[in-house]
Amino acid sequence: MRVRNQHPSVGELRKRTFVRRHLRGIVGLAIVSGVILLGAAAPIIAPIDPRAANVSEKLTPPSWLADETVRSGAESETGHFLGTDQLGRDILKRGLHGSRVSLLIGLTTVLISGLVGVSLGLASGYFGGKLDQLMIWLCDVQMSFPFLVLAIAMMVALGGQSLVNVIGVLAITGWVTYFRVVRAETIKLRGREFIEAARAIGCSHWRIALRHILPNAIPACLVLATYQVAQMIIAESSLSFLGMGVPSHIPTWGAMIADGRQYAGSAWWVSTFPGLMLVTTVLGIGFVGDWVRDIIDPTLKIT
Amino acid sequence: MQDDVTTYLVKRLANTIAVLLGCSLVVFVILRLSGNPVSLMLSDPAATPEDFQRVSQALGLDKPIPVQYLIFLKGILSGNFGVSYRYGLQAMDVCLERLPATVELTLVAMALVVIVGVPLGILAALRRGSWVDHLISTITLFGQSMPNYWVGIMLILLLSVSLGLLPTSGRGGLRHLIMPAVVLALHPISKITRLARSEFLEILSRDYVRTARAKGLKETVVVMKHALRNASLSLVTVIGMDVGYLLGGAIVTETVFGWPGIGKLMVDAVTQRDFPIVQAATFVITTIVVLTNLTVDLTYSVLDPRVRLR
Amino acid sequence: MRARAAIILVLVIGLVFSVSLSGCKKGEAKPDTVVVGMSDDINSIDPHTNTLAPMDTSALYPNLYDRFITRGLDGSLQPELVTSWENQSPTKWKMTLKQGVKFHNGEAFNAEVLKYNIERPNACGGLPKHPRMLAAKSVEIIDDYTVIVESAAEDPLFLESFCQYRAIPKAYIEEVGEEGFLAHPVGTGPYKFVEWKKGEYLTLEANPEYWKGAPKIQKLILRVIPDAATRLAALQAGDVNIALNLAYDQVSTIAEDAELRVETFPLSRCVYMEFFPTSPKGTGEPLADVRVRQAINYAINVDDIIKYVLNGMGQRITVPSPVEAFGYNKDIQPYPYDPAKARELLAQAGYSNGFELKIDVGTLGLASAYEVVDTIVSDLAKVGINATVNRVETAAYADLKVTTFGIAPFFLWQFNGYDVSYVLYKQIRSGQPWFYNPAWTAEWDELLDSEHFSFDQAHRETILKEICQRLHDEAVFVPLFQPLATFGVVEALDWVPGPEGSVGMAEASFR
Repeated sequence: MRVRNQHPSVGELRKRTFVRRHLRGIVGLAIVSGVILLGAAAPIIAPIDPRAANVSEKLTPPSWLADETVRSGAESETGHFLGTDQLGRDILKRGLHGSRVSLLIGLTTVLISGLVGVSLGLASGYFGGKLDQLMIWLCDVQMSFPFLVLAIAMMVALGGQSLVNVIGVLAITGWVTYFRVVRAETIKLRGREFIEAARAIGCSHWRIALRHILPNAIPACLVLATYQVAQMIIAESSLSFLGMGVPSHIPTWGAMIADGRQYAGSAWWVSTFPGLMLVTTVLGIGFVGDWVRDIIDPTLKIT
Repeated sequence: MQDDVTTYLVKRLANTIAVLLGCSLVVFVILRLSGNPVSLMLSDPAATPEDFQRVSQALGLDKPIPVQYLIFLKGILSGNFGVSYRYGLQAMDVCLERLPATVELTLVAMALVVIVGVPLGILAALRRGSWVDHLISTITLFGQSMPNYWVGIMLILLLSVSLGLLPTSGRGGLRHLIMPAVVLALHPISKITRLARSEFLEILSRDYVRTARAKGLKETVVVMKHALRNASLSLVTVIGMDVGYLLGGAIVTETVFGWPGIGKLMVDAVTQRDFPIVQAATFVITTIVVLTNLTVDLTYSVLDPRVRLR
Repeated sequence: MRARAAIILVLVIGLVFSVSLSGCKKGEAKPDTVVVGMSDDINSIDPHTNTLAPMDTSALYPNLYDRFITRGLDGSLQPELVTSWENQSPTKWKMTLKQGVKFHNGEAFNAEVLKYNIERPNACGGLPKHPRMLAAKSVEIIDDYTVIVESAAEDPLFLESFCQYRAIPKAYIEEVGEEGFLAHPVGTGPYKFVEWKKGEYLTLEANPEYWKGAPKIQKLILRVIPDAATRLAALQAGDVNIALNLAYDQVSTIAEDAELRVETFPLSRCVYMEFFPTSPKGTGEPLADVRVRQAINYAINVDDIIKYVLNGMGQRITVPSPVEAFGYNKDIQPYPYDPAKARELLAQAGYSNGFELKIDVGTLGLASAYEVVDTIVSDLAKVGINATVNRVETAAYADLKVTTFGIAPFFLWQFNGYDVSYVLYKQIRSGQPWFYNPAWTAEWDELLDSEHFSFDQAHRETILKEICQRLHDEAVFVPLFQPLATFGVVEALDWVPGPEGSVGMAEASFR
């Protein structure tokens, strides 16, 4: 039994401070890895047929709410742990598969928009001149243009719903922030002495950009990327709400929440559980993002 | 100094026009690539191919796209954005009628963001690493993690249907504003809180702050007078960006709460291929965003005389 | 210091809250006002255009304007501002007008007004008139209340189009101009226009001099609540008395609430799946074989779709036409649900391993369209057909079908109409704009022409019934259902849906 007044050792103190400072980061990492693992394992532990709809079992409540009477009178035969949606599909299984798609969308869009934004930002900041002016103008145009309308118009022009179209639309809206960050950093460093020195000894532009300038911009971009993954997952959810998301047989949390909204007062489980999964995951990613930022530089003004 | 400002304003004006033209061109082209509005109008069994011709001609859609754009530009110069396919009224009139609702909602939401977000961020910075910091960060992150249409319907069910405290939808007095403004503010609050926290963390570690503290000035004074002034630069930028974003992008909130704003008007117009409305609304929103950015930049130079107008 | 700040903050929040809570009450409607929650804003005030929306979704027109010829609750044509009509020749119809009808501004309704309505080249603002409004070409005035209307073509179905006309005033528009009319419309209906805040609400007040008798409800507010979940919440909270366009699942929620009830009405809309074997999107080749099409009919459990997806709110149809339409053959039995037979037929056609199939679907105003097609996909999977659904946004969908012929080989569509030929002629007769008849032979054309241009109703009925039988036997479509329009209504309001599911308040009252 521990005596209350005993002073903790230095090691103990260090450990406690470490945990306290990094608590959210640890929790965040745990959540994100959990989601990734579950998502990866989903086809094995919870296989579903994406096309199977069992309307006679629609809107059955979660199996642990056995005393709740169901309007349509359908008994949950196979015991759906989180209930079924309006087409009789098991919510738990779809939710697990939804994590794969949501994370896929989040990571892919961030990757694409990051690559595009970073390279354009480097080029624009480094070379300046007409290219820079053109890029700035393009940025202004895109920033001024309402995102969702741009997304809708593009989806419409790209010919309907598909996973690729959704990723494309989201990626296009995301590159601007990377561009700005990297460009600002590049401009800041461009005039520095060590760059001039490198030019003097004959380094090519590419070498300078990639080896000297880029590494300085990367930390900010990393922090930005973690926040953007979460933002993209939510943005996909908004697209689903507006009817512009991925095709119906691909489960995403966003689409599940959007479809289940009209049952919010009755079959509340249809929206709530995917909603909880979404919130938890995005929260976890946010924790990780904050933690990474705190480690790299707490004064970073990345939003 | 006077010349500087004038040159600056002229340059910005030129920039504004360039951006406006760019946006209008992008919208114009995307709309016309997205399909023929006449098909939607004529999906009735009574329609004939002659009807197609007739309607296309009446709406000026039978001409090649560059010609249509030129006609559109000419029209803008005299303030005519065309007649809405849906309402039969002047497109710009319809847009301007819907604008005040959006502005009202945006301003109230941003006021919430500033009143709630900035103090929370400051508090988190002052108490860095403590449970207060963790709590604030978690709560604000939470607000940003939920899809706002979901939060919207939940609030409606709770506050309107179950408790009968607030009206479910529509625009009216203060009571109608509360839920939509809160829902709209959720995401920006998180951003602003985080930003304020970062700003203050940096400022609080600066020498002059340490000096002021060492001198024994009350902490409130230190924080308020010096730090806030310095932090306001980037805060103002982000707030300005958010205002611009919200003005055109509050579509989801406007849909859920039946708020008669310009965002929903625009989205409906895109869905129904009401070209004149889309074009007019884009123009309005773009102008506002650009003006907001200009205001932000001018505020910059007021807040920090060291900043020279480019 | 901090404690003080915290206390002040709490007090401020409390103050704001109490201010907002003060004067809170449930609902805004007084017993002589009805608030209707619509899913979409009104389109043009001018009833002659309205090209961007299905004709039957407007809650405004039946209250503000009257038709010349209207429909009864059973879909038959009924006199309104036109009291009788007589077909004098293939293109000429003699009509007698109702006397003593006044517009809201006092102007009298007479032959001059009718002539103006029909002969206007465009709607207000230069917008094109709706196609149905062009069926009538010109009007010859016999006297103040008798006219001869000439149709643009020889058309036995002329009245189907003509009945869409609603009367707008001639002298008024000449006086205030078209902008004036759009700003303050005037009609002959039971309600007068008060104000319109676009995207928010439109207010009407009772017309005490209405020619059918003054309405009991004094004020009518049409509110726009685009989101279905919010609309239902508004009904439950008492903010609206009638909610339109609710989803079928929401309707069950209402049925449980003692203070609310559900009204339904069979729309003149028929929903069906259509085959397009030569679709440029590919995968349509198997559909050219009648056995494959029949197999698909056997494979889809339409009764379950109606029972579960529509919650029973639809009637099954055997051809793509409303049951009440003229020429509908009630003797045909629909394809039963028989997956085994479907597999057998597929094997006979050489597809024992199934095949891939692309499906397109747009909502087209049907709330459950996506769920319907998702269920169909599931049914098809059970017989080995691997379908992929492409949800297309409404305008693009219309474009695919109507203009570019780029729609998928199997797609959802719907039509409105009370005559089988009116709905189907353009789709199954060759050379017509929307011709998609995979079973076509020249014989179809002869049959269709013989009835489409005949003024002999008995003859038409016989031929149409035979056409229905052929459509069924050759599985030209997969007919699904005729959906019911659903309305959530407060129990205290005595109201039933009007013709074509309209939200006319002339007869309504509070109990």
